[in-house]
Amino acid sequence: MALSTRNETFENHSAKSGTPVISKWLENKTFGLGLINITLFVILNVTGILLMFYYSADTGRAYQDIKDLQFVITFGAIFRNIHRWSAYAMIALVFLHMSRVFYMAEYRSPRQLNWVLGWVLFLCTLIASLTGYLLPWDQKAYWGMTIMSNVMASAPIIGEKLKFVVLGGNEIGQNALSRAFDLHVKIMPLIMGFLIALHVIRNRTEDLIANPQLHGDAEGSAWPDLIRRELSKVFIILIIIMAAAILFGAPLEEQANPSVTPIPAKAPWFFLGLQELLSWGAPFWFAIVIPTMVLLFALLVPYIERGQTGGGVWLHPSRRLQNILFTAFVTVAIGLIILGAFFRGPGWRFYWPWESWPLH
Amino acid sequence: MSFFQRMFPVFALISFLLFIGLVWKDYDRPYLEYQRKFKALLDQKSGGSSKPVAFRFGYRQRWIKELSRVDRCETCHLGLDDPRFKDAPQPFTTHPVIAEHAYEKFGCTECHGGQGLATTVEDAHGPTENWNKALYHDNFMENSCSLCHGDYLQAQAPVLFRGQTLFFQYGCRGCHKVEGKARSVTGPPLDGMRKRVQPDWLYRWLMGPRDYWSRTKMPDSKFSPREAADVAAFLLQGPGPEGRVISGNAGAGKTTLLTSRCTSCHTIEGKGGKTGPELSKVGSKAYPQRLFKVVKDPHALWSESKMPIFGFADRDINDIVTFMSQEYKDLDLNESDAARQTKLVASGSKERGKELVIKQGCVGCHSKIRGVKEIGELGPDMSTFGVVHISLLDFGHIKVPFQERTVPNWIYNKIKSPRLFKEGLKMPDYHFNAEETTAITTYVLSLKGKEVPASYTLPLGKGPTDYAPQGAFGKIVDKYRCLVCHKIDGRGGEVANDLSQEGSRVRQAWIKKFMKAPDTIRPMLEERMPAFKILDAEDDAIFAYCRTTLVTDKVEDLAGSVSKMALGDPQLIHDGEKLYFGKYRCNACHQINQKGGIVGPDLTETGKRLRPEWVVYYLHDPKAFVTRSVEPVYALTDKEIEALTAFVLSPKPSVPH
Repeated sequence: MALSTRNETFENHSAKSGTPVISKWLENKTFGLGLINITLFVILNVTGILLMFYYSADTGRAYQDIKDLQFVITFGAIFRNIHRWSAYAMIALVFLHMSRVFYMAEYRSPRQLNWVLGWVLFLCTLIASLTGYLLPWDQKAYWGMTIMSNVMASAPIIGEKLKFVVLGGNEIGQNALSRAFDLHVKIMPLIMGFLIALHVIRNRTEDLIANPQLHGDAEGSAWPDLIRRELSKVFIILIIIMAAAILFGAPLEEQANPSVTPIPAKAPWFFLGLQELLSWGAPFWFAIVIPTMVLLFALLVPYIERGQTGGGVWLHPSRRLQNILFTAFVTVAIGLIILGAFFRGPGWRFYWPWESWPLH
Repeated sequence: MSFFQRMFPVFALISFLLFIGLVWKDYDRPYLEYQRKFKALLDQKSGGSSKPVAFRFGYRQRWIKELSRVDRCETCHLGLDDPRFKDAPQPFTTHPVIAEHAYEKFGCTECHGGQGLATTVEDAHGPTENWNKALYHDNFMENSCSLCHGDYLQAQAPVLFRGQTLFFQYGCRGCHKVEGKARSVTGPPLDGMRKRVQPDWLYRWLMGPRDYWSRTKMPDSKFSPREAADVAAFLLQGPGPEGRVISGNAGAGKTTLLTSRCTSCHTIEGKGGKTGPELSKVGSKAYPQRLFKVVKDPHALWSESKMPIFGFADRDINDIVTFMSQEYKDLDLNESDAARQTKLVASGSKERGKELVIKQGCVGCHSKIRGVKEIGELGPDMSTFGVVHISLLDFGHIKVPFQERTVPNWIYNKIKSPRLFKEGLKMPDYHFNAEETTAITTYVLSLKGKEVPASYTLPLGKGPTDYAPQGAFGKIVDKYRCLVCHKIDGRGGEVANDLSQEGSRVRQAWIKKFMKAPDTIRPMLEERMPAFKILDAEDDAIFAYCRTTLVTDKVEDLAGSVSKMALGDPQLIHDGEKLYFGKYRCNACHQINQKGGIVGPDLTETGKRLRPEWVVYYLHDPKAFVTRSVEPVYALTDKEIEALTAFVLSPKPSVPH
């Protein structure tokens, strides 16, 4: 038998339960999403360090530093492109990773804590992306952050204080940039590196708890096969990111200018769903209560869902309700982002993507 | 083996190739193509020399610390300071030398716009989505000059200066604020209109000011017939005309009108000066009583009027007005049209008219409109409009390709056709031609509202001074509006010659004679000195002021040496004549007894007109005072100057010998 991975734990479990699976091909695929995300994290760190050498978190210099990277510094533009596209890919793939785990019900005992760790890592990814978004100090960054800080300010009681703490003042300026920079290059990588290590170690431990037969198989002739198989996945994401970096330049708008408001000002795309929600009604409900409820619910899924069957395979029929609910949630979340990104114009009114916007 | 295991070598290979691709992409910068071309050109230019030309591939940049700019234009524009590339194609062409604008001190983008940090053509030149400031088109290039050099660049930046002049002449400042510039009210006051003009004329005027006077500064507000009638009805309030007929001798009036040289300022049937309004249809416009008042004392009606008080006797004015009322009629106008227009105005709504007058911002240029407050500045502030962000400019329903969505383009089209972008915009149409529009666009672009470091400021040119003569002479200057045409001590018009040194220039007797009956000195001139009815006391005051104030020591100091010259010596005169007709061929430009060129002034009567010191002074350096003189600068010897002066001042009998 070739080296077995943790999935065989669940394969067995599924076979035991005797219920038919949805698709033979999909049955127990993990797509190596965890490994791919780790790869992206490494890429982000490596390129990030090199970008950091040239970047200074100073409102007077930051934008010009990015322009320098863009136009004259050796590998500057390439590294910036890789960094940007890897970050975007990571947001999407961490989300997919979580979805995959949910569809396979892998958050169940003994993996509850690892689900929680993953949940925290997802939030960390978003925070790291948001803080990184501000650093180029262009219009997109400035006004994206403006929207986000206004969302924060809409929280009850603590809102204004929260905004003040995050921005280091009432307006986006040097303090906000410094804080975003420190969070982005120091605090978040540290926390995320630590949590990822924990996440992986716990993952292996829990695999072994669930299936003690895995012990000892991690040696011998199967080892190169494992390397080859997993490295292939690393290469695939590398290929995608490198190709994107060659073909598409990372966006950089005009220098941040508080007196020229883009119409409409949009949040970073990964928070566009939130901005879209915000436009539906009272900020307290739509920007604070609903997102918090969703996040809390996601956090507590392992402790709420008490099912015993259908673990370890995709879309197990015995989990129809869970799967339908979750799919609905994913559809709405992505739908909101698409709606906000492509169908919203001045005054956050509805426009078809091919319609032109009136200026005033 | 699983799929991934089998594909491992393939993925590894593709990854490797893409990595090579990344390195190549980073190495192969777009500017290298230009640098290779330049290198080839450089080798060719320095062909013959055996050692290879030194050339470094890679970007070039210049940091202008004081202006906090980094310009990398030189990366491709490699021949900027190499005179050998004068005729080379762009991007290698040598930059024209414009006095002391060293690249090291000024960089490129401070004047040219564009994105100095960029090293690709699209990004550096623009416009791009993410850089507001595209390179300025050559047409508008002069807009940057005023940043360091101030507002009076008539010689150095003629387009900009013309735009600035037009901006204030056409009363743009009436509606648009410009920081640090006073608001100018350019149109006549509109009080007592019913006493002044005929209703049908006002209707036609409002419908199309240019149909009446092609050079008017009054813009076309594009009123509908209904609206024009409403506005006319509103303006034509108050007491009516003081009489519709005036009796005088039309024939005598015509003579007076022609001999007084009214056409020096007014246009009659397309001919004449540019200062005053068209006269050929004035009989269909204004009531005779009003015309009488205008000719008698224009300043009483409009203190800003440029028209002098001629000092005619009432009988002469009667004659002139009679002539104008009878002869200067709108011949294209038929009675029934006029009657219909009068009726239309009579039925117009005063309330709607008032609304329109307020909405259109007539107060931007006109004062004394009954019941309308002079608020002014209805339009957007222009103080920093030159650096306005493109996203604030609405191209409306017009599909403009991205490459043309630039600030200069918007401003140009807005001025050219103010209501182009949207229905219902207020700005009226001035019918500027392309040249005027370009000039005004250049001026608006120059309004950047920013300051350059003090080490960069170098005001050039001279602005108008606040010269205002006092006493008797001051009154005369005001009465005859001398400064509309003449300049004294840096203030006044450009139509006629500068009078600042008139006292040193001309003989005392001649001033008196000329003021009484001005004759033509320059044969080519169309805008000639009008014949005022100068009073004797005034003549004395003018003379006194000329001799005491309008003098220059440079000329007066020559009196001693000139008095030693034997200017009456026939031999000297003869020598001068030979130089005049022979060596220097002065007669190519100057006339004596109707013979000679017509570029320069007639010299027949010079002996009676000019003072010898002046002639000596002038021949030394014609441009020293009369800066716009076209007289060639010859290096005349003192002996030659003496001889020429003697000849020019000698009496010239009308039968040449």
